[in-house]
Amino acid sequence: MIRALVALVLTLAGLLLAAVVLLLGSPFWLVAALTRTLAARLSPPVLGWRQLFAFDPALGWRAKPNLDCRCVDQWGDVFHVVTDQHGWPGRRGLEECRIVVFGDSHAFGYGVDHAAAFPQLCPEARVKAVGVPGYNLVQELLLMEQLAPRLAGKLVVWLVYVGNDLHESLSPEMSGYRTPFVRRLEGGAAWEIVREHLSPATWRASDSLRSRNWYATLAALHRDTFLAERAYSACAFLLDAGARLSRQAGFSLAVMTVPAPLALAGPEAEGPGWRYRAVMDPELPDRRIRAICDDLGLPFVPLMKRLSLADYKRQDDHWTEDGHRRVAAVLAELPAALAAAPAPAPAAPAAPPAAVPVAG
Amino acid sequence: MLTLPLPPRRVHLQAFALALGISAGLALGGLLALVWSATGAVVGLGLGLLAGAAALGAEPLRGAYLGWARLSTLYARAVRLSMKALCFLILAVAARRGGAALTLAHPNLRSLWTPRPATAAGASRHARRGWKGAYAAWALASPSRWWALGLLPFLLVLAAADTDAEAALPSDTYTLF
Repeated sequence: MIRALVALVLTLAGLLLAAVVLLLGSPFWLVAALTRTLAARLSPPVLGWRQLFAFDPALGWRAKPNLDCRCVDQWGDVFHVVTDQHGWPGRRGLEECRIVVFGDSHAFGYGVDHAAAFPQLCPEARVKAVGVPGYNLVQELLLMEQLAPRLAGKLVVWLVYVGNDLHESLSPEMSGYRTPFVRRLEGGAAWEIVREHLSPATWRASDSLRSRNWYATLAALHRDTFLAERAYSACAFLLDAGARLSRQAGFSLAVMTVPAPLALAGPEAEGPGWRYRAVMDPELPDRRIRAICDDLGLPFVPLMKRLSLADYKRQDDHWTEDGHRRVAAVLAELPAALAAAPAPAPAAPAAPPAAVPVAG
Repeated sequence: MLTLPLPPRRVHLQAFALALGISAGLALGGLLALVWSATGAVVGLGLGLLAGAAALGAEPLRGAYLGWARLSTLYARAVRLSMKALCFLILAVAARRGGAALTLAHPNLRSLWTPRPATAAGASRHARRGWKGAYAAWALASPSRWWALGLLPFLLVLAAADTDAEAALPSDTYTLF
């Protein structure tokens, strides 16, 4: 009898405890249930970022044509992607544009909704972006060559992202995707473009050599190092090829550098990789590329002074919507600024039109 | 599931703002309905929704979300602890009343691991029912196990208090992790 009574009291106490615990936590249950339900309702169907691309035998990869979809990036952010019939961002045709911007994911507008990317923010400037995430300078040059007959009379802006365009132009692969690259010809200063290895197969040969520390590579590009010497030499070769192409095809070429967010942070900044900031010369890439542009007679537009750390996403090195607004403002005023500036003259006499040396 | 998804995507932050607005609106509406009139419930809910919509783009939303997620994780831990204690209590009482002794260690200090003969025959059928169906079927199979049905509500609460990381583990595998 006593045992049964104790059991009953204990059970009732347990039930009371459960009721109190559940009552106290009812806001948590309600908010969690509503959040999960509403998030499921608010989320449109999305593509993973890898599903945006298709193999391209000349360039390694390109974005799929006629996309109008949501894409989820590596960090879980979802954004609206629109591409034209060639896979370039936006629906605007090349012919109706005054300014054509070649570049990588920054030009593609990766990470922000299509409507918030810079080409849509300066309609009066009629900007067409021709860019694909992950492209290096070699791919951008090859693409410029492909489109050269349609660029005559236009202002072409070549976005050079210091964060990865420079050193990835020296690499045969990007995260396992085979990519055109440049290598030094035997004996010296000349470079050649290599693309005989391009195929849809994953590149495994560099698995053990691939740098696992992007910050160290970035720091090396901001100092006088062996890597920097090679990267800026290759960059000079590629910009020279671009300058020749512009003269040959009759378009104006300007070079616009995009700083890595780490270079925009103060030396006292904290965060992953920030210890490399202390050994970096943030102005070095712009100095080196400006010197190259001066030699080639190309206008040089550094974004270093126009962007701040707040214009980049917190978790990666793409621009926020504010960053795109700033770049749109620079592009909108660029034709007038270039017209007002004295015409740059190449240091060396104009070389005869020459095809870019291409292997493969 | 009473915890929030981590790490939050933008859509989770937006849903969280609306969820807070609706929850606050329901609470305010209930209060107004008690002290004023039924119209108060609508007014309260409307105000809550407006507040939630206004908070959609607010900068501190991420911090609030993470703070709420931390609190709800702590609460989930407390719920799991209390539910396990309660289940254990019910189990102990039922086992004692059924005439069984609760053996916490084998007298020979050997493993208490025993084969699960029912698994081979009923695994696929139980897997189709999910763990709840499988448990109810097992409890109903014999009158001596009907007491186990009393545990089911507490087990449901226990399952609902799982975090995403725990829920990601397969639930019907006969494996030692």
